Amino acid sequence: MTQYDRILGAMVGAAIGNAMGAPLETRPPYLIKEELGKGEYVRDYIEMPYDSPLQHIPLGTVSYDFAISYLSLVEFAKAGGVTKQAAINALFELKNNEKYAVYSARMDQASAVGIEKLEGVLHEWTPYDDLPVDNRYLTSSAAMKSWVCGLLNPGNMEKAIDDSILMCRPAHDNVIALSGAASIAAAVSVAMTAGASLSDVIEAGIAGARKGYDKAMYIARKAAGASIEERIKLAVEIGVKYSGDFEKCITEMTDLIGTGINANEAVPSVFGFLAAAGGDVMQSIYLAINAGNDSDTTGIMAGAIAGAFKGACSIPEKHLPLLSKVNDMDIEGVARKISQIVA
Amino acid sequence: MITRKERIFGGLLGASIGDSMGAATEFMTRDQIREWFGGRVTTYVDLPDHMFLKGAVKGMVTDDFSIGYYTAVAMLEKKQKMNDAVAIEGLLNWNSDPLYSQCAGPTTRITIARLRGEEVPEKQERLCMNQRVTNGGGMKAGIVGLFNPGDVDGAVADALTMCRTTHDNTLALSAGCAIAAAAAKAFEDGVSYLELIEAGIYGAEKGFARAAELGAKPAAGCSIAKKIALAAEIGLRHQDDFEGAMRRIGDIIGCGLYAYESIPAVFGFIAACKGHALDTIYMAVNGGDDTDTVACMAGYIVGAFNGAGAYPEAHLNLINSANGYDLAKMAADIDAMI
Repeated sequence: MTQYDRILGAMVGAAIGNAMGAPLETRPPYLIKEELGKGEYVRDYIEMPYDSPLQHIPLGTVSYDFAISYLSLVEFAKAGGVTKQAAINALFELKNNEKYAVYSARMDQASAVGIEKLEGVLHEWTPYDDLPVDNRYLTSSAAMKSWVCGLLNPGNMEKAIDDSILMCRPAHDNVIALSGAASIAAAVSVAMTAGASLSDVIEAGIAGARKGYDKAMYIARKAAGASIEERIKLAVEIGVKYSGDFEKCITEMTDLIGTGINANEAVPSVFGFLAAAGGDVMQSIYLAINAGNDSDTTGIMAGAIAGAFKGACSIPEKHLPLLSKVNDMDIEGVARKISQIVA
Repeated sequence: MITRKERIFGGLLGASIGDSMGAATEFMTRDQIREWFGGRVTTYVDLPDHMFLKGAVKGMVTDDFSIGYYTAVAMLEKKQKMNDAVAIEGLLNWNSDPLYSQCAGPTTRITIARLRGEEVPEKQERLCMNQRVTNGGGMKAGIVGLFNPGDVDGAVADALTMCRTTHDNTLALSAGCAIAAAAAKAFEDGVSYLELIEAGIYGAEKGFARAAELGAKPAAGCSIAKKIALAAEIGLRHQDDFEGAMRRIGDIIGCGLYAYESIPAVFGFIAACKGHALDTIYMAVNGGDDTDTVACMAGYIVGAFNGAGAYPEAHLNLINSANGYDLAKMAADIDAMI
């Protein structure tokens, strides 16, 4: 398998997970099955549900998560690697270019606040500003895009971790958010190497969470919250235990780990789903999205890691042309540019 | 034998001790708490300047215990068991006190604004509002446990009524019922701390099912019942290892704003400390994140379990004088009413 195939696999896997997961967002698994899947779990692109603020968008439309990842890759390709400025350029491009309105409309609160800070928008003082911690924004908004740092650092986990902090800290200056970002970047970095096993990938995720947290503690805003590292271990235990039982796997994962917007839920659960699916791209994505809650984000992270691990050759062919067309994104072109940088 | 009145008194006292001790450590990480205070916090300390509650004195409770207190006052004044009207009256009276309204949580704020007839702009209601699966139901539901001594099902029913006013989703309600059920169970003579945990699991399951039947909104999040069981398992495994239990429960279960973190954490701490009246509270106070809420909830349960006699008199004097309370009288009034 070529490096290009892994880069493309990660991008397509990420886009599938994000686009398929988007309509399932906010619901628990039982409602996804009952309401959205008409008695079955969802294994394809479906219409946005009636209560979504975004209606009548084409099937296969990705959400903010993939859009910011894609634009970050475009900027990193231009810059020849991960730089802080390129990461910031991508944030502004997505926010301000009308062309991307369908994605920026779904920007999460943590990103919105982080970007406003970069823009120098002054906010009225709130009591939270005085605290030595910020427990409000320990979300996956950093981890959902940090996978691209793994593509740019194949086999170099330490650099992937450093780059993920460089990329994400401008808008997500929070130790737990950055621990999640480093975890995903480290896992993708190792998944990019020939001969890596699934356990190598998962161990990289655990090490990335720990190292990312430790590094961020020196520079980022602190936060109190559950440990991503410890929760990954439990999530993987659940994934292995229920690898043969789709429903039991997602139920136990959501019941004990959670798949909510906080990085200490979504990131650990992704490793549990990867373990349950043996790293298979589509199965990892199906588990992640049907677990619900922040399903477009668990979907993108699971798809990115499994896609890098198994390569584009393992993903059904229909997805790449569909996702590229619907979202007007040159996924193949960007994958080629990135592969030239890391070659 | 510990009398019913002593247990009610203990519940009130435990909850207020937990809330006021935790007020100083709230939000911070475990390490930050240790650094800030130069060790574990096991008494009443001055609030750091960064805290929301400006001008607070040692022993002063926060939004957590005060909401239960105001609700109890409304019930006692009206001689009315829990119903919608007293729940709302307690809530509005509580919120009229500027001391506590400044620290009201996100979910409670929205409800109060609506009850007062204010327009609350909301982008668009989704079927599941998962950001409202918070511990604001659990933090006040302990009080109904004290109004239902030994009657776990009665406590669950009252917790649903009380908490639906602000936290009308299946998971936040399940969490509230867990705390209320365990506090009610604590009144049974000869009950062990393990049965308190079982009552919590029972309350969480029953509360979830009843909430769904009553039409509470569905939500995505962890299972309160299953996470109580996991938290208790961790706590039991780390008995006599205070630091280890606190760390493992904080790392895996979490002690944050979400109902499925802080409510299960309460039971993990009870398991680790074998239901001890003060140790359980100390673990919650030093466990980081939403410490005052976790400690307040734990205090209702272990306070009723051990009775007021488990707390040195100095606690009562400080709590009463800092807050203008007479908790012994309130306990006697509740005992007389039920």
